[in-house]
Amino acid sequence: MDTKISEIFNAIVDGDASAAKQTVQSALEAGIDAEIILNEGLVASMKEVGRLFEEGEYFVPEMLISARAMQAGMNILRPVLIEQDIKPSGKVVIGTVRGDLHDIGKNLVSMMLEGAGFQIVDLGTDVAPEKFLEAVTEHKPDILGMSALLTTTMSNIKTTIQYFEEKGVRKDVKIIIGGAPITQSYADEIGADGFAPDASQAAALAKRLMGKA
Amino acid sequence: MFKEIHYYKPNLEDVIRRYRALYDAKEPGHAMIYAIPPAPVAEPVPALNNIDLNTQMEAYLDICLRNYALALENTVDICDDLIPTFGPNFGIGDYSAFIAGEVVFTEDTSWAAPVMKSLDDYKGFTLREDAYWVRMLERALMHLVRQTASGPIPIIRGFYSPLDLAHSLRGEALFTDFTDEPQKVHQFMEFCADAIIWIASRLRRITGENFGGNIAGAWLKPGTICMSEDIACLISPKTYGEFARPYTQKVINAFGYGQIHTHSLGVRCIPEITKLERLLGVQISDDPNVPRGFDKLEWLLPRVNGIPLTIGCTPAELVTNYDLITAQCNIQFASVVADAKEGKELVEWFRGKAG
Repeated sequence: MDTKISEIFNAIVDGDASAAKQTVQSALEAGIDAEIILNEGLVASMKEVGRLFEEGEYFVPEMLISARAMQAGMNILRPVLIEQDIKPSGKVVIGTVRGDLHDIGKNLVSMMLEGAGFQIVDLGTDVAPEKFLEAVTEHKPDILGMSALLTTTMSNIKTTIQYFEEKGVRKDVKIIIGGAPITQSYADEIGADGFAPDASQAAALAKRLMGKA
Repeated sequence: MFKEIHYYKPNLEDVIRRYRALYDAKEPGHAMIYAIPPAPVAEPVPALNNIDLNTQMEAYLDICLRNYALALENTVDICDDLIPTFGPNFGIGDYSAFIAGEVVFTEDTSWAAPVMKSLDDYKGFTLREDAYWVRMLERALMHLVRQTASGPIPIIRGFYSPLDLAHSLRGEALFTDFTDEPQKVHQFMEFCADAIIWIASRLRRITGENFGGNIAGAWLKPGTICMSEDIACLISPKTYGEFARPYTQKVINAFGYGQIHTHSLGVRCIPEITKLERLLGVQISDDPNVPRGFDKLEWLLPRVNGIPLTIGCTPAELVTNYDLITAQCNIQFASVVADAKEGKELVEWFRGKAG
């Protein structure tokens, strides 16, 4: 790995936002291709963060500060990516379903997806089926992600999927779901395209659904 | 509403004796059992988000109590180690809203949205005895103590740990605060510990002690405070040891002993939790999508400093693994059974093994 790329990688894995910003800037100034910085620096480092999380070496605070560092680097890189017309891995609309105000799981998934090169449209919490549909119609994402923390609100994931079916748009978007009470069997039962038990695996799932894993 | 406690728990004195022996034990082999059948079909409980607690709280609690009395009738033949105990359920919003924040109710739970934009905001909080949720909790507990006096059925009120309280007030930002402003986090945690000591002192004066101890299903030594360490599941053992345990310990020290509730999601942190001094036990609730506490026992047992765990398992798992597990530790098994008959049979088998 190029020294400058490995500096970006280490800054993000260490959660050092200031260093991430500086090293991305420095790599750009050194003439390293923006797509290489993205894939070998930012995306690779967040994949490593995901691995550390899955192995129990990183926990939520470490993931959050790494994601923050990744976002600091991405803020420097994004204008260059746009200028060079480099496309994201895919687009994801994401939100916590109606009646549920919890957002930490959803936010972690958003960060890991962004770290995996996806463009994110975050609808926040307490999102009604109508609002999900509106966002999908407007942004035309590849994937819709829905989250619920409570057993009493998880049924609103099913309600939203049914609403999409009623409106004839279910086949237009892949739907992935997650949250503390959600299981693979529930995802299968309600007709979701995928389920991930944590943020790291959600990013891998999204890549698989995009055929990029 | 309730009969005298021995009607429900004829072996109460034996249970207490076993708990005393468990806490005094220097060697493994002390085992307790909860056999929990499904609660019978009961009076519908109104949804929490459909009740005006200002005017209907007592009526709501009375429905819950009648249902609990029915559930106890269903278990009179199960001579396990679970002592009848009742606690008010308003969700978890009130666990921090006694300081600040609005409680948002759903059908069967509640939560309080974070209220702190910066870590310094806690300096503006005051612990007020006339705060809405302080008054509501006192009113609820006083009502429950009155309604259960014929048992008496002990009334339990658990508390957030300082870490859980800090997270409820500050929200997700607390996770980055550990790195960004560690000294301020320590100051905030100090406040959270003091706040829990303050509210617990008030509420425990109402609930009092029963049968020579504190009752939380288990018999606990007098002066035991029960706290949740749910947020510990999301942080590293190192972070827990640095930012959380000293303050949980402060609360325990203020009362005498502690009992902790946590989840199987946080299995890696449980050894850190068991470093708390004067800790009587750790209850582990199981979560979806991660191994159950029972499945992690082999990893946990050498690491929990001899603290008795409360672990869920099936009757078949208990029967198969009893000898192996109890040779290594002191433990409480919580087994969901199909019905009271299976519960009775399981406990009879258990008594044949454990006494």
